[in-house]
Amino acid sequence: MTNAIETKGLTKRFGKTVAVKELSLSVPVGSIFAFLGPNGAGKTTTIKTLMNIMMPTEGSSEVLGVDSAKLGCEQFGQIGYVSENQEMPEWMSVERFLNYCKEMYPTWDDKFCDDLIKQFNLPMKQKIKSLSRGMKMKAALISSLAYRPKLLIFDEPFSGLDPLVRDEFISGMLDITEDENWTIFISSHDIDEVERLADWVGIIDKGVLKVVEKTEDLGKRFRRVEVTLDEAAEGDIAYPKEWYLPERQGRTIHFVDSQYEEGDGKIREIFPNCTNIEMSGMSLREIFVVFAKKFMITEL
Amino acid sequence: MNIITHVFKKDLIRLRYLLIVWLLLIVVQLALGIYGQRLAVETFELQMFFPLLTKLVSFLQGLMMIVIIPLIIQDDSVVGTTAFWFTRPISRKGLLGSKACTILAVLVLPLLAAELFVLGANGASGYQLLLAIPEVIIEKLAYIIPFAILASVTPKFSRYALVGIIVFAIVVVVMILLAVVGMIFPALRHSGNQDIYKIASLEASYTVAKHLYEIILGVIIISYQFMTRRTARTAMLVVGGYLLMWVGTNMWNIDFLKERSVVEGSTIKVKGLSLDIDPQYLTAADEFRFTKKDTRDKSISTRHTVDGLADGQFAILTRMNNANMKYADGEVLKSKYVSVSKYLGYHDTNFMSAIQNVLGDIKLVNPSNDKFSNTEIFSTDKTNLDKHKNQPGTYSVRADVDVYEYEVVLEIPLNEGKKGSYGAEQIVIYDVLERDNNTVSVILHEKKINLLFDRRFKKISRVDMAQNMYSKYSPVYLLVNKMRGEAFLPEASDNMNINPMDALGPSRLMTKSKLLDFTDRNFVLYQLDDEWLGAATLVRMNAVLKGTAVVNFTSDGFILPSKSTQAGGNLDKLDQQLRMQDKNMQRWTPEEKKAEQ
Repeated sequence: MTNAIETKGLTKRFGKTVAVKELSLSVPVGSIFAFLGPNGAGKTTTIKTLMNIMMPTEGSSEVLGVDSAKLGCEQFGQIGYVSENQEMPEWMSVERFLNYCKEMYPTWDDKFCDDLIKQFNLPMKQKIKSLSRGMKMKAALISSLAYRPKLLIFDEPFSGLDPLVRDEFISGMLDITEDENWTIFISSHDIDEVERLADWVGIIDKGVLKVVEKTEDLGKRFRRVEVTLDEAAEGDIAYPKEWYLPERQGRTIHFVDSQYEEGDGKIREIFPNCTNIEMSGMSLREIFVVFAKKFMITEL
Repeated sequence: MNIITHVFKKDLIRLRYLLIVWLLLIVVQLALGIYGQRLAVETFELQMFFPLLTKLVSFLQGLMMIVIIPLIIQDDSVVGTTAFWFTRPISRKGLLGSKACTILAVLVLPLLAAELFVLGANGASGYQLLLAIPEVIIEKLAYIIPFAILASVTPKFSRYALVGIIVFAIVVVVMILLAVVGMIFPALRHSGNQDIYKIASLEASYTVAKHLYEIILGVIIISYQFMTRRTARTAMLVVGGYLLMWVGTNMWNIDFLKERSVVEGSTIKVKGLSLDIDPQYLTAADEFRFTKKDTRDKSISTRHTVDGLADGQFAILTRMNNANMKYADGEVLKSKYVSVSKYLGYHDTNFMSAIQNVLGDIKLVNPSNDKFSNTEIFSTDKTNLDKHKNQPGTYSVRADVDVYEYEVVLEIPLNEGKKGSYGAEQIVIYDVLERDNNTVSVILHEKKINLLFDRRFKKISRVDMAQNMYSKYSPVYLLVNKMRGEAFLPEASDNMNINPMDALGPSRLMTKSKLLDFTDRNFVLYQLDDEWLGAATLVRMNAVLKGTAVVNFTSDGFILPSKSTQAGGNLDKLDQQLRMQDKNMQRWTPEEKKAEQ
């Protein structure tokens, strides 16, 4: 098994509304995959279909090598799932909750669990219903990590968390996953936070997957370019298709090169009269904004 | 620990406080069932209060079940996409098994144990207890299933309550509409099998079949919902399944619980009977009307006698067929529906000879000479009555008659705590009180275990229940001293035969307390002293159906009364005076009686 998650033409419709359309992606084992998209893009629907919470209308998906529709106890014993929407047994204390979860997993690691509790500083005697949202998410996270799952699926885990807790949460996750080689599939509309974690990125909008790529490759191939000409260009310019969002302002031309390669030969070929070329790397957020503008994705 | 016991344990912890209340209610049920009957007999108020309290506890248990069921099921909801267990190693089968175990362990088993304890404490045999087990389980599951279905198709308690109220409101509206349709189109009112509530074994068969269907349907629906979580399809299954049940059970006619040993008296035809209807005592009364627009119907009643009975037999009219009046002008007035009254007291002279016949040489020392055998013989609207006012005609009718004989079914020495059993009934003498005015009061408990699956004894139908509330001709208790050759009838008016819960229909354990006052109205001839009572027994006689007959009656010169008075205003004044005198006589104390003499 090379991919922890694999979908082929996955489609989910609610009546006439298409929530996810022909989604095909692969999440390699050991990767941290950021599944990005605005609210209502189809991220949660995709995850719920992957987790056998919803049935797909068309297409198929596999999780840990098993058809999603057939996921059973064995697979769920190797999957950790944390979602902002997931209900928790609110009447339980944290201690009772973790003990309840512990009985379900033969691989539950008590020492690891204790370490996590200390790290997240969880009040064990307090009832879940009286915890803050951040604390609840931490409790959910511990209950999904302590059995050392092969695959972790997070659906908007940072939603509603204040920056401090969010930072703590991410740091914790980075520390934990550093040595474990777990596969993590994380959906978010908070690109800045995911950027620190992800080594793969998928961008979805209106149910359609726009990009799936390694974060590193994405960063390498995207460059913001500013070209200064000796005099203002006249007439139409034939921009290559991989140059996104070109703009002219007098003698200056801005665009985003989505297929950046070392050197500026291609730019000089198109703009022989250029006097200066400035290129700068782009953050994941900036790349996402470019996609948003290019493909009319809803701005985050 | 497997997942079933794990989730089961979790649910028990979740419900722990509610379960304490639940178990307390069961303890109260046990206490009332075992000791309530003894307490209830102390005063009339307690006798009225304890059955109500028992029903209140039962009602509260029902309410608690309605609350506990969704709390068990919805703590791991099968509806929606956010439940915690969806992404945990909990199999759907395992969860279903766990919820089923919790419901059985928390709700069904404690109730079953409590019912068996109460039945055992009230004289049920081991065999009866065995037969009660499937009955109680089926009954409780049939109650639980609809709420379990509702809980499995709704995500939260608030939604469960809302949907439940809406469904309840829809059912009520549909029933009201059906009733209204039945009023407009009377032919539809009596659709379905009307015998279901008349024949106890048929009703029992219908109940068991209906409950089993509900349970099987419920298990299928709930399993489908747990295994597929397709709520919309499950809801369609529910609607379809219950509609099918309503149609199917309404026409139910298979009596698979018919009693084996019931005397089939209804199959024996009695010949040589004749009916005499006395025109002297005709009275007219207003019939019930649904609306003001309905015709003003009048019910005509009078006294009757059935002649030609063998010694020791008495007859009860059960139905008046084809009653009509023919007038000289050729007009024939046909009677509408006639409801025959079976509610006769044993103080009617009809029964005295039948009782005496069973007693043989033992003399019934306080027989009654009353004659209350009034029955409805004709029903028509007021216009017809007014039209034929004071007009003589020929009245004819074909009457269905049941013929009974008394049989001694039980004899118990007259001592406190003595008990005896007859069929599914147990009679316990709770107290024997000697009063000042040569009266002995016997307080006794009647306990009847009315089990659906017990085919040895006759079951009690709803119609039987309604009639038993008023009829006093069966059973009859007598105080008998064989050495003296004397027997006493109890005073009918003092006979506490009231259990307010009887109105709700037959139940598994039917208990009743009776206060029977035995007295010698002559006060001198028969002294109910310690010596007499020392050798006395309490004898119970049951009226046993010996056969049926169809009797024709025709009489000329009949005048139907148009007002709510006796025909022509000819009150039998002498008879009225004698009745009044007799009542006054009963009120006198021995001292007054002696002073009079």
